[in-house]
Amino acid sequence: MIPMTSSLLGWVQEPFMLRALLALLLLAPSCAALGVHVVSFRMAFFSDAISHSVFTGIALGLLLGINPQFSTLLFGLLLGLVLIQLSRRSTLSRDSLIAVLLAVAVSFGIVIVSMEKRLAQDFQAALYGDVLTISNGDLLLIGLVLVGTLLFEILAFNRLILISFSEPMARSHGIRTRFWETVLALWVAVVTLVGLRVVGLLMVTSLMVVPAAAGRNLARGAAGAMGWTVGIALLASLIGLSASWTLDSSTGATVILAAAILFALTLPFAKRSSSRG
Amino acid sequence: MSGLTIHFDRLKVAFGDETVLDEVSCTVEKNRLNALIGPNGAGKTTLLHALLNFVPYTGSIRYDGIERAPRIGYVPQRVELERGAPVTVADFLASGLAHRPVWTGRSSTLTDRIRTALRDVGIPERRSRRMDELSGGEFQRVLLAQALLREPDLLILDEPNTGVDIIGNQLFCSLVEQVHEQRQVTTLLVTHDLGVVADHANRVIGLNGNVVFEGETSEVLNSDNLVRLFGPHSDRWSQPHSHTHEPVHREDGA
Repeated sequence: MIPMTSSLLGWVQEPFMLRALLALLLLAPSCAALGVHVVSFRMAFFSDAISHSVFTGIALGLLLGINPQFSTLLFGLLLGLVLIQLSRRSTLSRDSLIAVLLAVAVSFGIVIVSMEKRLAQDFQAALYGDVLTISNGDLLLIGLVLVGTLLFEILAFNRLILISFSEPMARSHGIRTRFWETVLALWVAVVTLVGLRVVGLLMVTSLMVVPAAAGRNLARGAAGAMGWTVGIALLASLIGLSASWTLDSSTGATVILAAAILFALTLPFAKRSSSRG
Repeated sequence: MSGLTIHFDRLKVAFGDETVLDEVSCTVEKNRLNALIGPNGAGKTTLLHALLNFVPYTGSIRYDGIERAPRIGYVPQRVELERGAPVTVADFLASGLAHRPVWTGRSSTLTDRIRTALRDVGIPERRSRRMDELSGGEFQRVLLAQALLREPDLLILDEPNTGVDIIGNQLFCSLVEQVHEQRQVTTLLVTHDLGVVADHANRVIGLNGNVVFEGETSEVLNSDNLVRLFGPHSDRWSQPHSHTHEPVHREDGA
């Protein structure tokens, strides 16, 4: 929360706000670019499950006596791998599997935190994020994630398009489909876990999905989708940060609200497609 | 004339205790339009997947006629199409060819190749259309263009008529035959439609776990063989359709 000011742009004089802005401008393109695939592969629920694994990640950090950020990342990635493997082998649908593992991940964490009251503050930060207290180490991590995402989009984008249409067809092109699906899932997990430090677990999936959905409404092709999606995510970050300063509201939630408003503005431009027939 | 011939020799594929293909020996002849037919569960798609190295098998698959690993163009049976996906026909085709990500744009050489491929399959004006805006027939043609852009030694079509109406199916099969005649590429077509086989295929392989018959269409596509392959109610399919070798002019693909 930040003090009310009469000036919409008064926040640019505050160093902590400029750090927050930098964090958002580094994170938003990563989330938005990955959001293009999260929407295509219907992975929003997957991302949700990964973000909620933070409960158990923090609890495990406490139990094992290790840094909670490290245990959260480790557990989130482990959960992602387990989900991928189970969804390939199980007869249950991927959604059902995610729901089961999500319930386990959340309930286990809540049991631990209810026993250890001093963890409540950590959980509060995980729920809502705290972009205003971002550290240099966090900024470096978010910057590295952005570089990693750019690399991922250069190497994986074309392959993921073919896989999204037909796995056998992609394999006939020599694409290692399981490898790239696994890389996608793990990178979504990494960006989710890093992103929740900034916007909180309740909002991080939204930062992926909402700009990507808005980008789809405006774009015809892949280049337009990527450009619009990243542009909308950056614009929402700027508007959200300014508005949260003025309204004295939670920054993460205000950014997502700004993205949702931009999405609503794109709706009239959505291309109506005919179903195949 | 050079070309790729494929020899399957005592091919066996099993999933757990279930043997899907047992001692399959047959030949896909070079530069010809070979049809693979059989009832549901006969192992047709499994045979293709063995050919594409998607499933483990015993026995052997031997390639004659080329010195390197064959390039395969594959038109899949089923395609996931997500409504609203921001992927144009050109994006889709470029994603199978380009090293640089398609969101960074395309080289003029690649654009020319895509334009030529779309002209070859009769839909030159659909390059900027989104994939979900295509009709079923147009969609099949784009999948065929995707396979042809690989300049394949072997063209595989896995039940490409699934979900396409009768006229669209005939037009597509005529196009496949036309492309086959122009390029003289070895083609393997999996289909349920015996009319298509009679009208367009040079050779037929009847498969039901193993090879029931194989040979020239005019010689092996008869009542006796179809009854052996499909059972006693299949003889009504045994009258070949009249041949219609008209070129494809329709551009809507219907």
